Amino acid sequence: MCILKLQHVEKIYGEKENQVKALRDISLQVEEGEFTAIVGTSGSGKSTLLNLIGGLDNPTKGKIFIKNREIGALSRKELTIFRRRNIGFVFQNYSLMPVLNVYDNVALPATFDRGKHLNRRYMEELLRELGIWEKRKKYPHELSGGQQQRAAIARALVNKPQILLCDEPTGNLDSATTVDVVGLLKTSCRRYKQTILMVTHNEAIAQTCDRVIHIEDGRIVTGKGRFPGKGGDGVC
Amino acid sequence: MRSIIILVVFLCLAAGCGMYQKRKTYRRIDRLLDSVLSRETIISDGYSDVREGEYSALVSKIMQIQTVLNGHAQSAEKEKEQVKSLVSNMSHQLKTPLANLSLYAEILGKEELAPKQRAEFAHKMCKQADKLSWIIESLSKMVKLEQNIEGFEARNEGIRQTILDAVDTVYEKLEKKEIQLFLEPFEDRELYHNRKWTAEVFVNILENAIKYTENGGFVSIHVRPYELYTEIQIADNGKGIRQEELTDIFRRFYRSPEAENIEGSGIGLYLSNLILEKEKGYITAASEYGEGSRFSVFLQNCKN
Amino acid sequence: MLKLAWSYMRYYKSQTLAIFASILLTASLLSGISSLIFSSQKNDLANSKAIYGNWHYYVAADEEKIRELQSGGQGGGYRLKQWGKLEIRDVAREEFLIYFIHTDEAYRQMAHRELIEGAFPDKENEIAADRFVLQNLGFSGNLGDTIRIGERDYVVTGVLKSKWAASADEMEVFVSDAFAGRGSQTFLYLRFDEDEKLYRQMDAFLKTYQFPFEAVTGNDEVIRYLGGEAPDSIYDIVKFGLTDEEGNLTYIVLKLQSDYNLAYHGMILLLCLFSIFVVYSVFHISAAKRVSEYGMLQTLGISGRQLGWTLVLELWMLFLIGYPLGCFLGNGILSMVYRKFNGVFGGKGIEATEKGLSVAEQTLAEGTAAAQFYLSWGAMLFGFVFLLFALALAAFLVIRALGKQPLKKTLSGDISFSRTRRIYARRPVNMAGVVVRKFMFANKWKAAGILLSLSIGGCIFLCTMYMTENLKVHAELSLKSDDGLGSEYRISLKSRSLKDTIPEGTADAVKNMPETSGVYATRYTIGELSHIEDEDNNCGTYFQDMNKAPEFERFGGICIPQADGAYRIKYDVYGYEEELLEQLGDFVLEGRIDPAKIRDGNQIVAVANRDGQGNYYFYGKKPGDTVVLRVPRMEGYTEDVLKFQNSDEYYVEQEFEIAAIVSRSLAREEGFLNTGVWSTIQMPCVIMTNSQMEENFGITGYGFINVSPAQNAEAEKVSSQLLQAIHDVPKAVLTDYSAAIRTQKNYLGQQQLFFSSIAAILFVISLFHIVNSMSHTIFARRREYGIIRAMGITDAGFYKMILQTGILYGALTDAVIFLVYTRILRRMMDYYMAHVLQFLHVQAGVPNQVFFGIMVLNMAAAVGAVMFPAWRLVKRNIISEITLL
Repeated sequence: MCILKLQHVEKIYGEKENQVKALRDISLQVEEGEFTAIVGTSGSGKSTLLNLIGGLDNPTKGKIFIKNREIGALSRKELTIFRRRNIGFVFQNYSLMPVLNVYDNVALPATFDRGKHLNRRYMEELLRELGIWEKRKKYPHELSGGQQQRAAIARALVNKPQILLCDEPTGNLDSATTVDVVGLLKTSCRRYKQTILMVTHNEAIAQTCDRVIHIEDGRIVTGKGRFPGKGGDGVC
Repeated sequence: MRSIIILVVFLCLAAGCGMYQKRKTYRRIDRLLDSVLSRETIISDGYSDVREGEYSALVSKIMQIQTVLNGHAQSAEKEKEQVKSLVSNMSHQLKTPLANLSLYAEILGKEELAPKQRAEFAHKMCKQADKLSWIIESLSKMVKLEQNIEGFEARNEGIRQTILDAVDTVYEKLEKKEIQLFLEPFEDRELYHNRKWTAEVFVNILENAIKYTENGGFVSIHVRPYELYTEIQIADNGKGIRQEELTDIFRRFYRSPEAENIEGSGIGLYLSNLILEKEKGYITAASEYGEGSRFSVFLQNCKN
Repeated sequence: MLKLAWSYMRYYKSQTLAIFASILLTASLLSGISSLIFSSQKNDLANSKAIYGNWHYYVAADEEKIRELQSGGQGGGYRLKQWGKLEIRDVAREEFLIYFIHTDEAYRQMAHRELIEGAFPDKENEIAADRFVLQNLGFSGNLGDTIRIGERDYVVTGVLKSKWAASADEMEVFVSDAFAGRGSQTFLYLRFDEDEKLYRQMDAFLKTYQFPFEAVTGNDEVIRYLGGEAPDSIYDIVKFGLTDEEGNLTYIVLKLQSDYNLAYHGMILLLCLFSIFVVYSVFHISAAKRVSEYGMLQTLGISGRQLGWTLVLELWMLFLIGYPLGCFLGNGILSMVYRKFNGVFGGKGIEATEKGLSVAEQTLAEGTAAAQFYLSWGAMLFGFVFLLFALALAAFLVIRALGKQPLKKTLSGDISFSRTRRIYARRPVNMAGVVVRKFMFANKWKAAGILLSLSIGGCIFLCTMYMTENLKVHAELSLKSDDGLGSEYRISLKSRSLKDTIPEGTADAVKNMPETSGVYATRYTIGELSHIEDEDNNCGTYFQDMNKAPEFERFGGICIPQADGAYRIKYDVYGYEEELLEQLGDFVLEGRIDPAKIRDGNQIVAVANRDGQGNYYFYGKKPGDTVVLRVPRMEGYTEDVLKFQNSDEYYVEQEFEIAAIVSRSLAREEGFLNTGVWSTIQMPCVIMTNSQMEENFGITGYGFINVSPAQNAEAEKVSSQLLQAIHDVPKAVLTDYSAAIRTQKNYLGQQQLFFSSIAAILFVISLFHIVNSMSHTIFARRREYGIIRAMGITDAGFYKMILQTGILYGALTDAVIFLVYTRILRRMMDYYMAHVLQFLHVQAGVPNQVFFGIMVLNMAAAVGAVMFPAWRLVKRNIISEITLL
């Protein structure tokens, strides 16, 4: 089943002469449960694409459907709520709250929706799963990069979103911790039937994904990556 | 006195409001669940799942459940299709050993043969029968595994023994193809896995390596510990896998077009993937076409 | 580097503007207030000169010395600007004491005795005098008419300007050189160059002409502004204050004030500190905003020193433009305002410290001439130099604070916060609230610093308001009390004899006039409190010199030791109308005033002494204790009786219970004990009802009457009626204070308005500071807020969270203000007002509305200050906020 669909999406930054076309006519579909890597050089527009999908930015043209709902039609508030219930974010710089310890950091987005009530059992399971249960009382700057990113992943997963968007999740990590982070993403993707879109410039990591999308100059490049029509699952 | 009366009135009003709200919420949830039961799509007003508040959060969650259920239904549908293709595939796979078997049986029954030859054919027949039983066995395993009929227990065990078990299993084949096995010395680690099934995974990978590697090649096993996972990497210098195929090889029944004349069910890696999924591990593959390939199995480190 | 500083300034426009504004504001405040105080002191001096004469010392001299002076001119060590001479040719003891004086032009100039009308006397029988003297001598008003003094008639040729600091019973009549009296005594009036220390010049002058030191009398009210006495060294003052038994903090403060002009210099210093505080805090915020930029520069290899200079240059550039502009602005505005607020600055309001002249007379003396505005160049220069260096210091402090953080931390922002190992999400909590609290109290010291700095403005405002309110009460009470402005008209006697009284009939007549309303006739006699135990040994040391003063000779001294070691002290004894007695209630220190009970129980109300440090005491006696009062009998009264040395039959001696002790009397006699040195000090007295005076001492006549006109009564008519009523009473005079009261009330209003607006300006500065720091606290966390928004908080939720921050800050600031103000500052102010300013009663508080207004305004400022940046944050793209380094 198709969980994400982009139709002729275009994104232009700047005005008139200074216009930069970040994305040009992107059409794309992602299956449920798929672990997709978006690969491209820096400035190719891959992060922009992710931000558009995450509703953090609006496309200049085109439509984006998530779970058969066009997110451009949602109001700002609805989009925010939709996002927190259905989409989890993992950023390159972890973006944890420095003043909160790991547990509270992870719990934070859950409280936006559920108010004061938190599923503490699930919290523990999640933190144990990601290997940061022992570190739950530590503050982000007391952790290594990998641990911080794991905390960020836990935070992204706490609302059990169906889509996980990862913007260079391993960009700041060494290769050893990269293994852990990618592994966690892979296993969580399988276990919670989550769809993961991961932006990376690391081909080797991309190869371990179910599917790789190459972007160059704001366009999806075919020829590389999967041959369309092969395997039968690519088409909705 | 008057203020007390006003207070009481307010309290009553508040209590009434609370009751009414509670009933209303109950009715809404009831309606919601009804529509779930009757398999309707529950978006009535279109946006009730993107509002602030607990009810909306509930709607959103139920929609998620619906999606998952629908997904399951769809994948069941797809599975049916796949089983169909499996049947034809199996019949194709089974055809060769069966044909061989009947051929050998015919030879054994028809002509007088030297005892040496007879023994050879008997041996060949046995081998074919083994192969048959292996295919059937792995089929049933796969089905069981996928349907979770026979759940297996994973626990923290030393990985060294598991690897050695697997190597033992394929040792004969290695010898036969004169492939050198290079096992890098490593410290034994407790990893979360099931020895029997995980050995099966390694066997699958090793067998593939042997299968696609020329005589006199080499296969190496490295164990690399990370903070959360431990990687067991099995590398060969065989023919390798094309870049485009790397993400496909873990699909069920996927067979590389180039490996059509090499025996194999196309379920080995798929099965391995499933086993590792159960063990909260995963497998990745990297390859340079023509140079060799590297399969990495990641298992979770023992957690205290 | 200059270029870098310049480009920074241009890049961070709003920050630069904030710093500039703070420099501008503080500079204008600093220079303005300094000039204000400077001007008001200058004007005080000018007023004092107007009242007491534009001379510094006078010295008794003979003809020889004068000739010497005329020929000698300037000597070494002093510069005599002007000198005049005054000869007393004769004295007439008539109804009043009348001096016949001959003066030269220079004296008349210095003493402001210019001619208003007519001409100076030329012949022997011609005189000139001021209108008040002439009136009381029975002058018709037409020049050329004659009046009779003693045995002779004199022709009045001119009217002179009045002398304000005149003794009540002394009158001066100017005569020509032809007038030959019975004797002659000459005085030289000297005015030195005011740019040099006066006391040094005087010493040199005395040495040159060999005058004895004792012959010199200073014009105290003038020379106290000019360093007429050698100051003690600060070290000695402080040492004495701290080590000596009699010394204390109040001593230090008062002494520093008198010797070193503490109010002026202290205020300048305080303002400098305040300026530094405001500029530093604004600058600190601005620097914090670009911390990462500085980090970047550091990675590029700029040294801490260079970075410091960049900052200093930036600050100095702003300062060099802002300071002169601020001075111009502050002085400009104040010079305009100044003239409108004569009453505040001209030294014309009710001063907390007495000048020896009653407020009423002083008010009349000063008139309503516009006060001059003087620029305080000294303060401006000092402020400039001080701020210049302080700013540099501030910049280096900021840099040092930055330097302490490792580079990476500088780049990634602030992580200095206390780490509790508590998991908040364990319990059901509002995580957004937790985040808000964490942001605030992450660093407890920082939070305390921020709250303190936010509350400073409010505290200053409240203190100023508190002071103003109490000043108002003090001024009102002062007006009401014995300074004489309680009533518009006063009928008194120009007499030094107890025998002269205003008969009851006259008092009744005044009371019965339809044009009068509050008529308080007061009976007066002089008394002696005996058996006063002197615990603190005040009497011995303090009164010893007093007893010898010439004005107390007729009373046989003020405080006489008794055989048993106790003392007998001269006291004024008043009989008040019961209604007036009731009004004393406002001044009660101890006990209770119930006129009926006092009358029936034959009790008295005692007015307490006040020492130089504002402490009240009444010889250790409390309400309920008794005092023994001795009063001369009216039968057989002679002037000698006042010495209290006759045999007992001349006196009535009686014991009275003290009903209450008060701080002031409401109406007082000014002819007897309140003369000379004594009048500059609060003269204590005992008060009872009029009927008690009659019963106990047989006094029926009145000493003086205070009269207020009825509403809508015509002023002219009232005064003419009153004059008519006292026409037959010998020696009775009428003084009209209505103009003075009007002026004082006007001044009071101005004072209120001015101080309130100063307070308001300070408060506005503090609000500005609050807004700046609050918006900084939001912007400083923009990345975190970005994360929270990316995590899916809705805009409404975000605003709610920010609102919570604002409210929390506002509420805590309010709490800090409340605590600091009530627990610390108010106590300090109480002390200051009671002992240093010596306010009458320190009871008024800041009105509740104002208090709550401050709280609400603070809150509103805090909320507004966070909501605006929040609104700007919401408009921004989340991604750009998060990816901030």
